[in-house]
Amino acid sequence: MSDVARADGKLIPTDMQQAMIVMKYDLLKHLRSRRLLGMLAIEALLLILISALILEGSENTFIGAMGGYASFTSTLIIIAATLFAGDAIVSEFQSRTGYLLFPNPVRRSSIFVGKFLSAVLATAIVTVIYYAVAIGVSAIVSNSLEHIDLAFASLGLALLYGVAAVGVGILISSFMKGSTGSLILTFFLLFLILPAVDNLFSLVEQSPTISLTFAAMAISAVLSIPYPPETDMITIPVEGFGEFVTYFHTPSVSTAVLVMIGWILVTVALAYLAFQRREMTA
Amino acid sequence: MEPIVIKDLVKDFGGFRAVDNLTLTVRDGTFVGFLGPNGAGKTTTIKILTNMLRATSGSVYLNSVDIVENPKEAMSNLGAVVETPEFYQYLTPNETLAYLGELRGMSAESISSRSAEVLETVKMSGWADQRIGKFSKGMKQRIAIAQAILHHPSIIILDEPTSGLDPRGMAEVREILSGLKSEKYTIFMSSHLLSEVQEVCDEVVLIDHGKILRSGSVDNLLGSINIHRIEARTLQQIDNAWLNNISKIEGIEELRASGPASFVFTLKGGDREQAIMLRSLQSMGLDIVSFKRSGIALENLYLSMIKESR
Repeated sequence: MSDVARADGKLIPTDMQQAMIVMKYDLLKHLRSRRLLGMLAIEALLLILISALILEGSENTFIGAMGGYASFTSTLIIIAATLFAGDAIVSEFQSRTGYLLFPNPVRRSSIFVGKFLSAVLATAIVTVIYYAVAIGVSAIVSNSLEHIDLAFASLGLALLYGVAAVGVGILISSFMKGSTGSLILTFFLLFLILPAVDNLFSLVEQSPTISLTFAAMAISAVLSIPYPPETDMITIPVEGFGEFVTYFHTPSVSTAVLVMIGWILVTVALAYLAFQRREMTA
Repeated sequence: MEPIVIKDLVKDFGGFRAVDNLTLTVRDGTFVGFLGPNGAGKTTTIKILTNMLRATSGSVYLNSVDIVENPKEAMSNLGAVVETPEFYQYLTPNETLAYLGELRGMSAESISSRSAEVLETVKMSGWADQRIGKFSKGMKQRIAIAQAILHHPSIIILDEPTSGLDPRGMAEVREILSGLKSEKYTIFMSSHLLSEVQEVCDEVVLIDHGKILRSGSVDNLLGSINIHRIEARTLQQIDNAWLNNISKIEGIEELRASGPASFVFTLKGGDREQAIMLRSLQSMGLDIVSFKRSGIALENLYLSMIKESR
């Protein structure tokens, strides 16, 4: 909402209109900095490799082939979120472009929303293209579209995970001092640190319910028929040490959705507060 | 309505007070120089004015709108160049101006025609569609000034606009500033270059340690100066013996030979003190050929004020 006018009487755009302007030029940045094209190249490579494995293998059901693609979805999303959101905020401070952008009649909230939406949109484009190709190849391999609804459910979860991963990237980039550190931390948090914590829970019966990367397991789990149990236990006898018990946890779809929404709300809120308070001191 | 009003402004960084109860009003249509040495608090004040830093206390109004309470409205008629801004390297000058013009509510037609005008003003028309990535610092500074005047703001704030430029770049930017002066903007410009302020500004505010030392019109400040740099030329060769004798005259400071038969010194006081000084020199047997004030007058005031504040 805005009725702010310039000296010549022309109205300044509303906050949402300004957010869309920021988003448009941020998307242009992704395109021209070749991040989006680089990401699409990585995606193409991944699709070719998985498709080759599926075509060579014995998998001939639609849902089985889709499962092969879905097992790499979270990795793809982590790379996309890192590239598009990992330095979205910090770059304005580190590269001093904030000196150009901030002294304008635009609220920090509009800049934040524009940058967030641009990263979400870029990540969503990558995800949708991946699923479009995956569904197409799976349909060709199986000559069927049986359980395509589950493929769309997986896509929905992947998009939601993409938003949450972007939220993590935006949060990290809103308080880090350097772009490189922010990109590295975003990637390693989502790719190594959180999954490592998830793995520790294989030693106990309790599942890591609130972990974002644990929730992301629902992206491929949703393509299993029947849906895996929330906790599965395997007992392995170890000579001289008795029995070694390990647990396999799988989040339910509803839990995964709630956890992802929770991460989106918390990370975006914290990132906005950090960005709002951050001063251009350098 | 005064374009810029600063009231009791304080900014602390931890235990360091960068701006100390600064109160200042900039009148409509004036070109005000905000002069002080490095670390005086100029950039901090300007960053608060442009909503990039939060004040510890005090208030700032642009066109009577509180910058903290309503930054969007306060900055709607502001154009600013703060520090040496970097540009989005993936954009051209035309695209950069389009981005900022859209944020400021300009129509596509207005952006197009005005971009051509402002790029012409800063002599960057030939580079309008080249990516900014490889531009020199001087070229970037000219684009920065272009974006600041793009939307015909009523207030322009410039933070050391010639900083880091080579002599040619400085001359070009000063020429642009002189052009802006004739367009009746209200301009608030920080600088640590005395000659720059004396050349383009109507009024000057001297600041050090975050406090205003002196302010007023450049003409009035020059009139109030009671320290002068004076150069004298003589018939005699000025050797160390002469310099030794001259230095004993009361009021003479910073004496040195400036040539085989000339010397310079600073003298505190007005016309009367100068007349007495001239008589003293002649009574010593010196044949004075010429006796004149030299150097930049404002520099004398500036240096003496800074010296007193430290």
